[in-house]
Amino acid sequence: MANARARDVKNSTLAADIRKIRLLLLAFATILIWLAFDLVWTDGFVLTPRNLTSLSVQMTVTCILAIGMTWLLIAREIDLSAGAVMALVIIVIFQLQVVYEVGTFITLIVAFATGILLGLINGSIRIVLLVPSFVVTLAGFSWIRGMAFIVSEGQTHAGANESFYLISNSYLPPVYSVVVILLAGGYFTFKAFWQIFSGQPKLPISRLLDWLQLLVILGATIGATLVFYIYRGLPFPVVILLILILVANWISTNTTFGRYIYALGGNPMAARRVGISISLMTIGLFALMGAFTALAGVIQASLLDAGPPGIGQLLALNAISAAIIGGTSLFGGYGSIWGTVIGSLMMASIANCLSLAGVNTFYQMVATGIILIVTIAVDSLVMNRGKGA
Amino acid sequence: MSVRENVVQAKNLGKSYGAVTALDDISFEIGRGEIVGFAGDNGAGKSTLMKMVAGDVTPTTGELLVNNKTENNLTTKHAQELGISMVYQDLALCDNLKIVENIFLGRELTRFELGRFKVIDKERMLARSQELLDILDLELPSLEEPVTALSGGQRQLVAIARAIAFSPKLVIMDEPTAALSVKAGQPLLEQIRRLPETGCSVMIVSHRLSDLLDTCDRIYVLRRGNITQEFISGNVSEAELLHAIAGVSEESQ
Repeated sequence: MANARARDVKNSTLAADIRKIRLLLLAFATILIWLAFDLVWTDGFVLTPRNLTSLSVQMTVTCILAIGMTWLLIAREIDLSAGAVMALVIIVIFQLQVVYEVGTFITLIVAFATGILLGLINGSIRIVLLVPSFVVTLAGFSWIRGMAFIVSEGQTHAGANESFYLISNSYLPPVYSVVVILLAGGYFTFKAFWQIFSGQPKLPISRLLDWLQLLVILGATIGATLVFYIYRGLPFPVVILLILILVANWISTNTTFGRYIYALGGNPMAARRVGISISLMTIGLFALMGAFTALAGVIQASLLDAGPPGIGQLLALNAISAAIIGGTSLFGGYGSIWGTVIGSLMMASIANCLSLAGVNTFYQMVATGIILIVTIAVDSLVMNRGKGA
Repeated sequence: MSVRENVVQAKNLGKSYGAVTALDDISFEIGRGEIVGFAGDNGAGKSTLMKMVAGDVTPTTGELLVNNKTENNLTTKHAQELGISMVYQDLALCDNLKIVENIFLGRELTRFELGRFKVIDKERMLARSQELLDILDLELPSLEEPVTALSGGQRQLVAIARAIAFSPKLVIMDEPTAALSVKAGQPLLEQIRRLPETGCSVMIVSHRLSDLLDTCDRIYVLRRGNITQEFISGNVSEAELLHAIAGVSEESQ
């Protein structure tokens, strides 16, 4: 019987194991960076609840953009204009709040509408003119940035409404934070336990990876509980990011939309032949990227409480780097939200640790570049070995 | 006298790409439960014809009837809804997706739908795929294996499993054995021969004439965009078929 044959075959695949190893290595490398800087260069400051809370906020903006970028990259698209879109959204926010004295609710609606509209423009040009998204968004990188300077007349406005300021500068009370973290951590711990004890036949290496994954999840849950309980609770931007991560991951793995993103990246012709609308999917992905960028803009504007038109010059590249470090393929088809989150955390950790150790920011760029090269080199080696090359 | 029920009927179909005519005045029919082959040299128009029936190419002239209804503006999605599935020569699989995900791609079983927003029912899809493999006695590794890890023959089986997953009325196969050795192609041909048992018709294109002769009830010969001859499989030899494809009459030899 084919049934018995299928069950006999190892259930865990080499490809899945390699992806898991990659994420675990990234997670352990990040912890190693924290420990090294904590013990050697920062006199025990890196692992204080205050710094880890600050680190979690620092990664928020890049991580939100990187999640949208991950979907685009998986679908063989890219958005180089994300930083410029965010700048224009921030300019619009401060124009409304400071110049026109508009309320926070209307400001948020206009901010999201601006982001989505710019995403729709990018996506529509990509589809209607059949121009690669690299070129379309490279143009956006320039014209949208130009618009930010034109609208703001090169001025930096500051001083948003109190309610707007509170978006990124308030905390969920420690007790509620603990409940949220334990609920989320408990759910993923249960899932990890289920993977181990579901009785599916697995290779010993897959079992070991499952246990390590459980260890990381448990460690992250306990660590986050302590950090956010001891300091001030979960910062509001981190709550927003957490919700976005959970929703985006769920969409990626449980909905037809998520599946079609991967199909588009795997074989666009095959996707078209089974009736998936490539045009609609692509425009939708760019619109979503616009919405994510607007969200990042709102958080950044509230954090900074000022709107310089030149903000976020390297943001799109940082988001792409975070996604690639997290295992997203530049050629489409592969990537995961959790990988991108760990990639973003690693990049933010390097910046945070180097800055605490008093190292010039230029070295942070060098460090990010080296990590990118190392991760891509390891990927390339593993893939070539997999192909028997 | 009983009248044969046609799944697909083409009346004077034509397809031009600018000044180039790919198909000209093609007429044929495929009855229910029938296996019909199309033979022809490279550039004879076989692939264009198949894609037309699958909704991938729109005819320029003539009439295409599916289940006795004119369907000249067929799309791939609509063709699927009418019960037409195609196994492309390149298999049209997404290497990065799992076997089960490929089988159901574009037609996922869902547990919740809100307009275009659909939540996938993974368990039901796994169970249905397993049933499918059992019924067809197809030998595939774990359904959760990505397609990229499969051999050429296994990939072919996934493409066929996908084509027959939704009880189609017609399965179109473009060179199903091209990527396989003659030996490896035999189990596949056996699967194709069994498809009419489920009431499914098959339209098949192959360069391997022996495959067509072993599998098909009837064979149409295409030459330079036209159907030049029609054979009943039992009444024709491989040599005769080859001559028809080459446009060489018996008398001229």
